[in-house]
Amino acid sequence: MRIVDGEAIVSALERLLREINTDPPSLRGVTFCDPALTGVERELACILDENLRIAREEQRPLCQDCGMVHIYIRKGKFVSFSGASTLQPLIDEAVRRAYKEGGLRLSTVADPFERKNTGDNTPALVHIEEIDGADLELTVMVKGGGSENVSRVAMLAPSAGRAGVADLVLSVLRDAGGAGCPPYIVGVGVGGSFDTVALRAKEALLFDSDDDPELRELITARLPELGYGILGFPGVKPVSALRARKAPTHISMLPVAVLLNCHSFRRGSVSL
Amino acid sequence: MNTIACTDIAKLRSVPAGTLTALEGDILTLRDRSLARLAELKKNGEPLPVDLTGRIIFFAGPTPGFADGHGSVGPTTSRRMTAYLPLLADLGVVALIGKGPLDKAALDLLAAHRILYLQAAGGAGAFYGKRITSIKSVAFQELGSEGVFELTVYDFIVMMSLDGRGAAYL
Repeated sequence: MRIVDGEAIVSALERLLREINTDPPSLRGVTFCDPALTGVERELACILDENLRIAREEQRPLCQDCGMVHIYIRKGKFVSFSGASTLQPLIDEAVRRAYKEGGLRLSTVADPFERKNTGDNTPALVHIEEIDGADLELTVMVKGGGSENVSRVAMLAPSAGRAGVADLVLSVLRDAGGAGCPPYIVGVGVGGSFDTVALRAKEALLFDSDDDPELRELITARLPELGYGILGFPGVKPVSALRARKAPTHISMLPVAVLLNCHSFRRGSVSL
Repeated sequence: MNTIACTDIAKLRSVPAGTLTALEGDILTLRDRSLARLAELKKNGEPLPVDLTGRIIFFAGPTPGFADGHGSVGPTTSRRMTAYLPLLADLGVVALIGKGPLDKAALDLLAAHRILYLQAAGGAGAFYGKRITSIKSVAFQELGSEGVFELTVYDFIVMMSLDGRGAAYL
C-alpha cells in the first residue's frame, strides 16, 4: 500500500485551485476573438480575450463567481493517505485555504432555504471512483451558478432516440440564451438513471470524452437555429464544444442530462 | 465608443439599444440576498440603509480581493431578480446592469418606469475588476459578497439592452 502525505494533497490542491481561478490549463491558448466573427459579437469576444489576459497577468479571478469546487477523484485500490480518515476533510481544507487566503469569492451557503454563507466555500462536491493500481488523480472544475442554473435533467422515452436528445439539448440551449455566459461547453449524459446521468454529463466536461459522434454531429448541425452567439446577443457562436457520454440503462428509460459550462471553463488536474 | 457619466441619465437614455457604451462614475451592487433584505425592510415599513433614487444598479457580487489589486466583479443573471423589479422601480432606480435576457413582462415593467436595462459581459470579472477605482461597503456587510457595495468605475463597457424608447436588444 502506498501512503500519500495528507498535507501534500492539501497543498497541491490549494495551488491548483488558485491557478484554475486565474490561469487554468483548460483556457491556455484559447482565443475567443475569431476572425470569422463580426460586429458586436467580435467586440464582445475581444473583451473575453482581454479578460483572460488581465486575469493571468494581474492574478485576478477570471470571474467573480469563483464557483463551487467540483472534484472527481480516481483512487487506486493500493493507495491510501495520512492526515485524515477520509478525503473530504483534506479537500475541504484545501478549498478553505485557497478561497479564504486567495481572495476568491465565497459562494457556498449551508442551507438552501436559510442561505447563510459557510464562510470558506466548503464543502467541495466530491466524487470518488475506485480504480486499479496505486495512482491518486484529482480532476477539478470550479463552476459558477449561472451555467449550472440553466442545465437540466430529463427522462425521455426510448423511442425519442438521438433526435429526441438533440431536441432536448437545443431546448436547453434556447432557454439558457445569454443567462449562463455562452459560448457554452456542453456536456451531455445519456443513459444510466436519474442520478447517474448527471454524473455522466459532468464526466463529459471533466475528461473531454465523447462517446457518440453521431449525436454530436446531429446537435452541431442544428446550432444555427438558436440565433445567438457570444454572450447571448445576435451572433453565430453559442457553443464552443459539445461532448456526450453514454451508459447502460433500463429497457424503459432514456435519461438525459444537459450540463452547460460557461465560456470561462476552469479545469485542471493533479496526480499525487 | 461613447463614455457616459453615471449621473447623466438623459444622455444614457438617448443611447439606442444594441450599442456598446462605456460608463464612468458610481454604481451600486445588489443581488439575491440584499434584494430580499430590502424587500423585507420595505414590507415592515422600516427605513432602508441605502437610497436607490436615481441610481444605477449592478446585479453583482464582487470578490474580496480589491484591497490588494486582485479584485474581480462582473454581472450576475438578471432574470433571477425579476421578482424584485417592482420594488426597484418603486425605489426610483434609473438603470439596471446585469446579464442575460429578461422576459416581456419584466421589460414592459422597466419600460413603463423608464428604467434602462444594460448588459455587461458575463464572466469578464477580471476585465471589469480592473476598471474599478474604488469599492465601498454601503449596507449589509454581514452578507459578504452579497452585501451592497458602491463601485466607482471607468471605461465600464455595457450593451444597451432596453433603451430610453423601450426598444430591446437581447
